[in-house]
This record gives sequence, C-alpha cells and structure tokens, in this order.
Amino acid sequence: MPEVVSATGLMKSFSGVTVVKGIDISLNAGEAHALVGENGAGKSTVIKVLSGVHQPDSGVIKFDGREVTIANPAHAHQLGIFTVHQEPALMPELSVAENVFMGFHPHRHIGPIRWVRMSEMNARCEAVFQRLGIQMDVRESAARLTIAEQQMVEIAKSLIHDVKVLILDEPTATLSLHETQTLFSIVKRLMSQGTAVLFVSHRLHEVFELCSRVTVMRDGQMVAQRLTSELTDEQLVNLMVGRKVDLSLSRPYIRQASSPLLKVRSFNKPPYFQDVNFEIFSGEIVGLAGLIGAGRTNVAEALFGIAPADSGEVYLEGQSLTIRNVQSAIDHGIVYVPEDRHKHGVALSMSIHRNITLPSLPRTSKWGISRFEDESNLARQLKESLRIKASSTEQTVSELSGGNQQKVVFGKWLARKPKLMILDEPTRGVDVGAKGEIYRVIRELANDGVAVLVISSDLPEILTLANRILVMREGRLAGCLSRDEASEQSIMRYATGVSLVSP
Amino acid sequence: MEMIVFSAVAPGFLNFENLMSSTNNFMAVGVMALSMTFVIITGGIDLSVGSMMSLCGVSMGLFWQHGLNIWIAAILALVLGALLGFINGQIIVRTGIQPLIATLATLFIYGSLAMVLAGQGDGSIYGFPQSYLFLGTGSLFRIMPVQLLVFSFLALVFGFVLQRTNYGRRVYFIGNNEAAALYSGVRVQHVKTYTYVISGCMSGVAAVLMGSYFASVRGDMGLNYELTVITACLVGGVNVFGGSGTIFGVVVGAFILGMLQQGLNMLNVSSVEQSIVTGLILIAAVGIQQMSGLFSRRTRRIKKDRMSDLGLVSTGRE
Repeated sequence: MPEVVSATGLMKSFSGVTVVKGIDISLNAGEAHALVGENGAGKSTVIKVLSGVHQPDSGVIKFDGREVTIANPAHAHQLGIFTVHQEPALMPELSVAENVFMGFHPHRHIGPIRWVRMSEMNARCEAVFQRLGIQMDVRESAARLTIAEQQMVEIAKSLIHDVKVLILDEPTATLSLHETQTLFSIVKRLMSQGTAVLFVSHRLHEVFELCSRVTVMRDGQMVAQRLTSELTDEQLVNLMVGRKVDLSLSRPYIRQASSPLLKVRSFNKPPYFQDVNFEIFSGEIVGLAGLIGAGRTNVAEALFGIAPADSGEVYLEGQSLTIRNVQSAIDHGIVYVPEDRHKHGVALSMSIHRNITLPSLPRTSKWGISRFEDESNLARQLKESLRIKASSTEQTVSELSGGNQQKVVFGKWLARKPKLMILDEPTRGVDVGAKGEIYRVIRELANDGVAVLVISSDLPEILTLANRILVMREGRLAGCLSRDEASEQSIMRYATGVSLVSP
Repeated sequence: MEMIVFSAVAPGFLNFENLMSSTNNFMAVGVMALSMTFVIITGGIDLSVGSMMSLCGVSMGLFWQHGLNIWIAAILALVLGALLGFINGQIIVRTGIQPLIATLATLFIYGSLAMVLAGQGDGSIYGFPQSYLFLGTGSLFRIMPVQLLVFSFLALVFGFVLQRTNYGRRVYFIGNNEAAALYSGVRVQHVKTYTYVISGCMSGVAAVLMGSYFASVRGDMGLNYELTVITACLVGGVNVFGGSGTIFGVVVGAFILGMLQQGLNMLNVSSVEQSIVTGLILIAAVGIQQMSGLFSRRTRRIKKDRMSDLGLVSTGRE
C-alpha cells in the first residue's frame, strides 16, 4: 500500500518543555493506524501538527513523497487532510447540507450577490451521503442531530473534497455501541476507497477492530510501533502505561445471602422506563447495559430519589421503601455516582476535603457545629484508602486528573458506608492507568459487602466487572445474563433487539 | 487610609467618642449586609431588604400604637420580617423565578404595603418610650454604642455559622455547584429558603434599630437601602455570582462605606454628592479584587494550558 503521509523525527515543545520527542509515524492508503497513549502522552499535539494547527520545531513531514510544511488548517484541507473531533462543531441553525458545504456552497453570482443554489447543494449532499451509506435528511437543521450524526456530517464535510487522510480524534467517546458500529462501517468504506486513517481512542477493542498498525506514545515519546495482530489487549495496555495494570477478568462471586439486598418490582416512570424488575445481593456487582437512551440513568436516578419513579415497589433488606428524595435514598444507604462528574459530582473550585465531607456533615458535627478534627480525619482517611493523588486534602478538585476527581466522588459516598452503590459510567474521561485503580476500588467495595450496580456503555468494562448483567432496551429490561452467558454479542442482541452478525 | 485622609482634612474625625457614635448611622446597613452575604453566596440576591425594613418598621409602630409593649412589637417585627423572607424564598425555589426578579417584585409590593400602612404624606409614627430609644442612640459606659454592640454580636454569630456549621458549608457548596449539592443530598431548597428568611429577619432588626435611632418609623424608611447593603457586600469581597465571600470582609466593607459617609458629612458634602464617592469606591474596591483575581486567574489559565500540553493536568478533552 502506498504511503500517503509520513512524519519523521517530529519534535514540538511549548515554552521550553518538550511535549513530543521524536515521533515517526506514517499512514498508508486504505489503512487505519491507531495512535494510543494515556492522557497527556502527546497524541493531541501530534494530531495538531498533522492538521496544521501547530508547527513542529523539527522533523520532516512528507505528503505523497514530497516534503511539505502544513502551514495552517486550511492548507491541510487543500492537501486532503481532515480531522473529526470528539465534539463536532457544526452550526446548529443551519441545515445538514449547509454544514457539509460550509464555505464551499455551490453558487452563482447575481451582481455582487453570491446566490446559493440550494437544490444543487442538497442533491450533491445526498450523493455524498449515499456514498457513505448515511441515512439522514440533508434539510434537517444540525441542532436536531445526535452527536453520532454530527460526526457523520463532519466526515461528509471532508468528502466533498478529496479526502486522502482522515484523522479521528476519539470519535467514539460519546457514542453508543450501535452508533459506533455505524461510524466504523463508514470509515471502513472510506478506507476501501483508499483513504488513510489515523485513529485515536481510549477504547482498545476498537483499536483492534479497526486498525492494522498501532503507535504507542508515553510522555511524548514513541514507545512502540506494532502490528495489532501481534499484540494482545494486555500487552498494549502495559505498553501505554509502562507498568502492569490489572484490567483482568471479574472476581469470583459466590452468593452468600439467601435474600437479596434490594428488590425492585414493576418500577414505572413512562416514557423513561416501564415495568422494571430486578434484585441485587450484597457483595454482588451487577452490570446495567443498553444503548444510550434506554433508560438506565433514569432507573438509577429514580432509585436515588432525584426523579422518583411514578409507581412500583422497592424493598431494601426485605423492608418496603419509598424513595421520595435524595436524602431518603442516602439515609437508606443507596448512593449514586453520576455520569457527568463536573456537573453533578464535584464542586470543582472547592477542596477535596469540602467535597468528600459534604454528605457526612451530620456525622462529623454536633448540633450542626462541625468538629474540624473529625472532619479532616475523615477526609484524610479516604484520600489514603482510595489513593487519591493530591498534595493534601486541601487541594482544589479542579487541579486533579479525571481519575482522581472520580475517586473524590467515590470518597464522598464511601464515607457514608453505603449498602448499594450505583455507578453511572464510572470510567468516562478517565485514562487507562486510572481505570485499573477505579476497578480495584469497585471490587474492594463488593468484597466489603456493598452491592454495586454499574451502568456502562463500554462493553468490555461491563464484562470485566460484572457478576451478572442486566440489559435494558427502550425503557424495559430486555434480558439478564449470567457471567457465562455474557459476551459483547449476547449483550448487543438484547440491547438492540436484533441479532448482530459477529464481525 | 480613608481614616488618615479624613482625620487630616476634617479635624475631630479621629475623636474616639465621635468615631464610636458615628457607627450608629450605618449599623442597619451592616446588619442587613450580614444576611445578604448568605444570600449572595448561594448565588441569589435580595433586592427587597429595604422594603422589608420599611414594612417591619411601620408594622412595629402600628403594633405599638395599638397598645402593645414596644419590645413585643419589635419582636413581632422580626417575625414578620422572617415571614416576608420566607415568601421571597418560596417564590424563588418553587417557581424557579430568578432571585433578582422575584425580589424586585417584592421590593415593589412590600415597599408599597409599607407606604399604605403608614398612610401617605405625613405617615410617620413617633413618640416611642425612652427605654426603646436607648437602643439606637445610647452607649454603654458612655463609649460603647448599643447598636455597635448588637452588630458585633450578630457579626460573630453570622461568621460562626458561615465558617463552622453544616449550614454554612452547604451555603458555600450550593454557591459553587448547586447541582452537585443536590446530588450529594443537600436540601438545596431548604438551605436557599432559609437564607431569605434570615435576610427578612435581619431587615426586621435593621428596622428596629433605625426606628430607635430616628425615634420614628416611616413608610419609606428603608428606601434605597438594598443598594447600600449590596454595595457593602461587594466592597467586602463577596462574589456577586456566589460561591465565595466572608463575614469579616463584609464587616470591613460596611465600615468603609459608613466611615466614608461620616467623613464626608463632616466635610459638609451633601448626601447627593456622596453617592458619587460611593460609586467610585465600589468601582475601586471591586476593581482591585477583579484585577488581582483576574491576573491570578489568567496566570493560572496560562499555567494550566501549558500543563495540559505537558500532560500534567487533565483537560477532559483527551
């Protein structure tokens, strides 16, 4: 396969600190090349150099065999290099077609006016969509699209030009599995038409699915460049992190109690969820899988009292229970680690101490007056047992990494000694090294007898953690899989309601 | 600095007794600024404090006119203030109307009610007993004004509540991230309502103090007080968007404004002209806070950008 673009000896430093130290990378026509590494390894900088946002300090970039300087993003577009970001930037008020042709609308001149030829634009846009196999109304306004659809529009944007190199910067981070599959089939179609792809992702199984070669970066350096066929998951993770990370299979679980900790019966809150029945035992980790919008978060928020269910019964240790608000949930030992950490999990500008102790204030105070000693002891204790990396408990949460921020949210609830912990996408925005840490915390919790309900769109994660997996589809529980029955295929079969052909 | 300037240009300003008794002028503002601090830290604002003060003052006068003991009337005024504040709080947490709008509306309503109750025109009530007037103008041991004593006590209580109690913690947390507070089991609506209840109650205290100081109550006695109160909070370093501020800062803010007024009075500057200086002080004080804050924020952001490029800080993007 011919080489389209290559970079050799790429170096880049910002204010005297070298961020990229000698990267060699080459992309071949019709091939997907993965670029992986922990947060801050320098992947973004490499992408920005290739797409003309940054200029390298040294190193040679060759395009079609000729040495080039990619002066700015517009120049990159002329060469045929396009980037699709994690969060697409479309103009929400414009139609899909207008977004696709942004800046290149077909037009004719009527005097000084550039008259956009709408029908021609729409027709050409439809042609592009057909080539990609996208089904979407080109006249729809962009504001109504899902993130996955917006990304497809971004890809289509590159297609009205001659796309030679497509850079995908974590495109799947916010997509559900089904949407990811659609995106991948489009990318594969482009590859078969000779486009070179550079793929950045934290989801390693996607790297193995899509890419034939992988470059691993750590601390700005290239650690390895391999064929994906020569690597296992575990080897790749170890290369990225540079130490051994335990993302290994689920811990054994033997049900000890005869009756469940929590029993949910005909739980209803239309249109979000209907007739949900399940139970969880102490010490058990139950996965809750499903597509985005299947109602998983709604069930969790109902159990936690944020938006209580309309009807249905909840039994905790055999006792019937009404959850009217968050306080009653917490008082009964039900806690929730929300999906959007910055919005609902922590106050970023406050200290670890203040965040962790908030729900425990009644326990570290007397007559509403706080006892500083008890409070800071509690914060320190949790910081240590969760191994939160921070200079002290007085450090501001915004200064911590995503993984450590998540541990602060965990700490907040561990201080209340919960019976049931509901985790909503617990490792979103957390890098691979910290993921292992979070998994360790979750397993320790279960070992201590806490029942854990894990909501996750990351199937390998759910398969790794859960002892049992519930699958939701369109607001209903579609299936319950034991450890042995569960696989990505079987989960997806229940989640989508159709059997997928395994790739 | 202010003190030095005034003592230089207005002889007698630094006279100790004079200084002490001058505090009587602005203790009402100070008392309301204490509770306003709570409101603003949670991310709210209470524009109705002046009107609540008028309404509480007039009510106290009417209770007394109808034969109640003045002290019982005063206590009823505090209860009424708390009730008015409770109404403010309930409007805000139940309907989701912005605090600015809700309390602007009650500013009109309460203010108008006070005027109606007092009777327009010469609607003032006076002739209170001497024991009550001592509260506003008297001094303990000839040097310690009673009003200052009351204010100091309240400031200590408010400072303690904000820094050392669970309630204070929750007030700060709501100001920093209301949704996260809710997801942590904080009764956000309760906490917010109470800040308005306290604000109303302190308006009642201010009315009692001022009624005593002027030996009369009027339907417009609290007119425009809300602006001075909010100014004192802002000069004292409370973040108008919530999340930060201290009682100590607000006490300093109230004293800066009060001493300014006193000094200008002694220089025979009319109260109309004084407002110019008040405005300048507000710009200067908040400007200094902003600039120092802005600079630190800006440098922090630069540092953060650099660090995220280095991979030292997670930006959430990667």
